[in-house]
Amino acid sequence: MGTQFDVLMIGAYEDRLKAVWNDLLVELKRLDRMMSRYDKEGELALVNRDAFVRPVEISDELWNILQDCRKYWDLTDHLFDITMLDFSRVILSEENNFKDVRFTSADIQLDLGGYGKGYALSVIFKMLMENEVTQALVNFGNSAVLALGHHPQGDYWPVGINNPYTSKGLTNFHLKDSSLSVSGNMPSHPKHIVNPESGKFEERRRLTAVVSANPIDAEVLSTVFMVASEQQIDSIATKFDLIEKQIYEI
Amino acid sequence: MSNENTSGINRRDFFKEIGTIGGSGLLLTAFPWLQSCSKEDKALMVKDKEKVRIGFIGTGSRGQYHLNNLLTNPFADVIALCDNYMPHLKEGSAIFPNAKLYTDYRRLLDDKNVQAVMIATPLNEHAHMTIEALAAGKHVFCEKAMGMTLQECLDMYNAHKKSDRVMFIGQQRLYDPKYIKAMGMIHSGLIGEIQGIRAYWYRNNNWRRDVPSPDLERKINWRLYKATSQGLMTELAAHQLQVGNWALQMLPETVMGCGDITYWKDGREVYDNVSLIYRYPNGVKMTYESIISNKFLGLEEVILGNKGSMQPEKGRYYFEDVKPAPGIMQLINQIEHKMFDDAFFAGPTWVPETANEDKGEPIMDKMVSHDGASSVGALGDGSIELETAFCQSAISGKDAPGLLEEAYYSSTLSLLGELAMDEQRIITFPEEYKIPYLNFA
Repeated sequence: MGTQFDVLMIGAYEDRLKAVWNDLLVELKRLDRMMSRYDKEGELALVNRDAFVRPVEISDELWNILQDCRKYWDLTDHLFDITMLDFSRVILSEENNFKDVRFTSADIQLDLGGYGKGYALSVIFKMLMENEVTQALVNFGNSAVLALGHHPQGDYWPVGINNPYTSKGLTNFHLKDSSLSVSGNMPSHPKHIVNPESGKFEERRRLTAVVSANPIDAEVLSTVFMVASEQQIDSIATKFDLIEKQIYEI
Repeated sequence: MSNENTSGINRRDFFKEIGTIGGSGLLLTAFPWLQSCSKEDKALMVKDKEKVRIGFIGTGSRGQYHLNNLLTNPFADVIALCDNYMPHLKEGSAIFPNAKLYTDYRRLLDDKNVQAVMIATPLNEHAHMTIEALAAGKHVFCEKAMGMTLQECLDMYNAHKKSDRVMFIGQQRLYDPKYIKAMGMIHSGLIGEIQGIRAYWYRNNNWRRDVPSPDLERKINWRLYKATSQGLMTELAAHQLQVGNWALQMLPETVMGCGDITYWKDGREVYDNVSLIYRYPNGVKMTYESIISNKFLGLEEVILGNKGSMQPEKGRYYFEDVKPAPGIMQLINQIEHKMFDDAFFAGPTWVPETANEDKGEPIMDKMVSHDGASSVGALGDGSIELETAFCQSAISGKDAPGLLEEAYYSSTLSLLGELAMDEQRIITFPEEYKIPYLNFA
């Protein structure tokens, strides 16, 4: 996922937390490989290579991910689109327990960049719960943060957002059993989010932050709100159970 | 003192800065020598304006470094100076014009007004001067290394044990704030289990002083001759071997090494190029290297743990793995200090530094490091704190626990290293010279 991953876990048994950390790393490496466009051995890369030429059989997990991406595509007026072109050209079919994917045009490629970290956080959330870790803060390169339970000295995890243009604090969130996702342009990277409607880079100095109990919702919508109009933001937001959303024009 | 990176730590900040490693209670348990003077004792000394009357023996370059520091030390009153080389005595007198001058240290020891002596003479004079000074009822501060031989070191140690006077050896790193803080971090497990120590001191100069006439060569350049010095081991390594023991809280059992004169072939008798391995009972090795014809690496004692590395001289530490993102570090610090505050770290995707660009973390905010070029002393290296601690101990009559043991082993290990190189054999620490401390207790 091309970014740093930090987990701060609070618990009485250090050895147990270390074992959890090791399990998380193994799982993350697996997910990273599966969802990477660049790992030639990875499932997604294989799909991108062959799916226009032939139907590619995929795992249940990737199948579910692509179904989920289709759901978000529908719910966001097609603003969330892992093809960045036209998700309708991705055909998912299931027959006799075989699940496969094919593309109907040669220019289709899948990119899970705006989804992968949220998905990984949802997996991590389950793993932490299964291992009875109830106080933790998980940070994916500062742009995707999962908070379990609360800070040992407070009722929540206090996580603030900085304005990337001034480095001054913009706002802060009280996270508790929820995820925060932040998207935006930075002075160093002013062009990195593509508007699928126009096909052009979104160059507004906008920053979006979404808090939700579902890390994937937060991840997907923080990106969608970068390119959506105000009316679209309002109408899309009603379809989800969001805890908080902030849009800044800075 | 060239190329110093001075960001100016004020002596008043000393305990405040190092106190952050975990409260003063923990500090005093981990570093017992710092408890020689309690806050209450110190407050009383300040209130009563108490000073210890010092006779200073050996007013050469290192002696003058101390004298200049003592000028502003509120607990010191230098009332007598002694040197048998007139130009040095004159230079010392210029610093303390009212001090009584002696050319024979025994006359200074007879001076009843002198309560404490500080000794900065050639190494071969340390032992007998220290022992005689203790016998004369003086408190003693003696420069490191302690003695020329293991027996001299043991005699000094035993003489102090029999006396009721305080005795300090000039191991200033024990009082250097950045070392104290670094050791606190190491002992708390920050860099994991120590797997190795790589100590070195490189500089590029001939280590000579100008000699006005050839008959003074051995007197002025005493560091270069075997009758008066054990060379790089007693003059440089003694400081650094102590750091390894301090980090590991253990003493090495064996030493091997090679020493040669490879560049400064000017008639000197001591090596200008040494390389040694000290082996601790758990198998961890401390390597020691000193070359004085290349300064590229400078000086350092790199402490290598399975989770990170510490460079106390440079004042930085490094994690083996990518360090936690700044926001997470902030939260860890909060939790460790039982604080709760906003942590501003979230934002659009942040690109982490790669390991190759890891510049490490500073051990503390304000600190001074130096490049090791000076053979006299450097600013902010703990010397002032050490001198102050000695004066306060001399006033209170309370020794600095553990300081002498640290010094004893750094001296004896440096001497054993020299012996290992001279005799080209692996030397095991001799039973008869073990004093009770750490794993030799």
